[in-house]
Amino acid sequence: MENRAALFRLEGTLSPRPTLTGAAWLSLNARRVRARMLGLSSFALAGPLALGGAASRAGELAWSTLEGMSEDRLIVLGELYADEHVIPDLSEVGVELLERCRTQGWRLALLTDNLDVIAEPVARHLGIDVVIANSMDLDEHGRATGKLREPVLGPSLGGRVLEARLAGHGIDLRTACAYGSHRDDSPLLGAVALPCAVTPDRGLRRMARDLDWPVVG
Amino acid sequence: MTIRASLEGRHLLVTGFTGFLGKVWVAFLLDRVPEIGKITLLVRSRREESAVERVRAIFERSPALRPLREKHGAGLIDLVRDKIEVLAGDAREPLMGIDPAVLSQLAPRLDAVVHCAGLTDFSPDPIQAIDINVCGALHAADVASRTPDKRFIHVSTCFVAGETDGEVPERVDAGVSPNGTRFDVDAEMLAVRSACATINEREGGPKRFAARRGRVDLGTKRAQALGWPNLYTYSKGLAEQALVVRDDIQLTLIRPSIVECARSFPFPGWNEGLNTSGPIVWMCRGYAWKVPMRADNTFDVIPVDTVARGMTVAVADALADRAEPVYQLASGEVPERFTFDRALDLTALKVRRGYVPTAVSPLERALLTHLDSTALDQGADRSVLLPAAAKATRWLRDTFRRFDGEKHLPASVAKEDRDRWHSKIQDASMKMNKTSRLLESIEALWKSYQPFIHDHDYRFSTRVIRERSAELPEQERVELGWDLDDLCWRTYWMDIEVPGLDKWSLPLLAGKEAPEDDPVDLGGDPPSVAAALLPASSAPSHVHDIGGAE
Repeated sequence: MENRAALFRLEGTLSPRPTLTGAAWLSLNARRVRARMLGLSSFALAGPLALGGAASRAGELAWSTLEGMSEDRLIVLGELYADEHVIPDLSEVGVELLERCRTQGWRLALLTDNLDVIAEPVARHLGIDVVIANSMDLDEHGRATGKLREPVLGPSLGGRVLEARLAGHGIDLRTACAYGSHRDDSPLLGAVALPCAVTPDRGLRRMARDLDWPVVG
Repeated sequence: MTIRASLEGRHLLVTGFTGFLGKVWVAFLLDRVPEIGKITLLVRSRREESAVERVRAIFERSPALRPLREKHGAGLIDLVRDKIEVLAGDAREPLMGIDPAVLSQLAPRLDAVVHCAGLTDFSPDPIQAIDINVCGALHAADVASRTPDKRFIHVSTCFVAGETDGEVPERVDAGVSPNGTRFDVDAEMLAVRSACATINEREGGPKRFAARRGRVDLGTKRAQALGWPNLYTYSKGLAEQALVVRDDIQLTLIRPSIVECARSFPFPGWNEGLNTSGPIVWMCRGYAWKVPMRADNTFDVIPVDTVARGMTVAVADALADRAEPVYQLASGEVPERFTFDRALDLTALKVRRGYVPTAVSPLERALLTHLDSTALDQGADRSVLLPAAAKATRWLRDTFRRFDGEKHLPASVAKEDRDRWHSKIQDASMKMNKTSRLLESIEALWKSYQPFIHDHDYRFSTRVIRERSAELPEQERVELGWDLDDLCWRTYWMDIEVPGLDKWSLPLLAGKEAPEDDPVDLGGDPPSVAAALLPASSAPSHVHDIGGAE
């Protein structure tokens, strides 16, 4: 029972906002106007990259726009973004599933390739105690280097990195249940004992049907 | 050594109780070290309020004393009767205005004199600064020299370091100014006094505006010639220099840096008066997007209750006759150094969280919340924008003022319309006048702050307080010792300092009064401390033992 955990992917399952939106919002709230303009032009490139299937490259470009941002700013803006844009828009279906898991005694974990500064306030709001997210790498002055701290969780959550991070919290991926919404979540859903597709996109819906995964919504 | 053992049953004479630091420290002592014997508060009487009434008002209403009122309720009067006595006096007078006969009865009972009183304006009248900050300290030391153990604890400032950079050690170089000039304090004071007298004579009397300005200019130039940036640090520096050569007292110097909102005692955010950060935060909440600060310089802010802790350790050391000569109480050596850049960033982030003036339009609100203040890395003396803006508003003011409907509007315009336009333009002129004055005062303020926010980067050593605090038993260290090592600047600045300034200090900038607590109702008759503040028959005529019978 100790390891029985329910893993919720933030993007899609709980929130309609993709990871890049958070990065863009942070970037557009950089301290200096020049940095905001640079961020805006980088996102003009990152968007097509993400749509063209190069999600990892788009992510790298997106996070690089935060270079030079102070840790204070990341934390405060992360909270603001969560409070103003993520929490008010949480998916009713996702939250209901989460509450059902809580009632049944499952340990709850929030998974995201977004930054921990955004994920943690959301997790606090939802009463989730385990957060698996990326962190911005900081230099010795507490300023963002524009790169994510290794090991980086990619848009397709899964594999050894996720397994090791969960194991650090005493969660065994193989005995967990997981909820995902996008095709990118298929490695995660494929690795758990009880996968579930929640309001899935076309790719994941097809896969769920092929693999006989339950679909909600 | 424990602090409680050092302070147990001891009798202190404390000046400056009506000031920000003084009242927090006395409240802290009464709250955390009930073992203290007696505190005699030397307070100046005012024309409309006696010393006893001033102390009584503070105990009844000041938020600094709130923890005591909450803790003791109706029993506060018993604590006050037991621990406090009020002595009317004035630090500017010889022997602080204490009657020699009174002093001869009081002095043998005193274990130490703690001198917190002082003038904290950056540009005071030099004569006033010398009278209060230098002569006041010497008069307090004269009183200390008449006590059995001659212990004198003087509250100075870290910024006596003057125009210097880098590490500031905890020591006084007697007879040497910050820029290395050898000088004599008495000769210095005499020179300033006589030059001021000449100015007064030249300008037709000391009360003339030109005379005051002349005195301030003269004093400031004199201060700068010796390496002090302004009259405040100059007068505090002179006081240290005058005290350190005296062999009739056991001197301990306490040097706080920029004393700001309380972290926890009396409660988070408490502040009083306009301290250094207040105007900075006020301007950054408005349209000060480029601030004449050096981004990476240390902003050495210290919560007032941390200073109270440091003072308690230093006074306990002095009473145990193991004090070091100087205790610097500063934050520059904490693991996470606080810089001006970070202060601006955190203030801007606080603004993002909705901390904007209430009476602004939605457009203004959007501008204020989305355009953040940054450091200019350039001194106010080289700023072009502010003087240009002040000049432009002055020009507009004068142009509008000269407008005459009769003369400048065509004859075809009806008289009513002419009058309306005339009135509108005169209103605009008044607004421009107000704006130009505001810009001029902002420019003057930045210039007065320049030595501390741009020109110099100080690293005040705090070795003594850290070492002495580390020697304390665990429980005392937690309750009374140095507590800066776990300070999170983000939490302090955004959740304590800025809201604290907003509540307690910034109203003063708008000409309002800071809020006070509702007076405590002790119940019964007499209902307040007031009735108990009566002169004791057994006490000397100038000493009013609070709660004693007349």
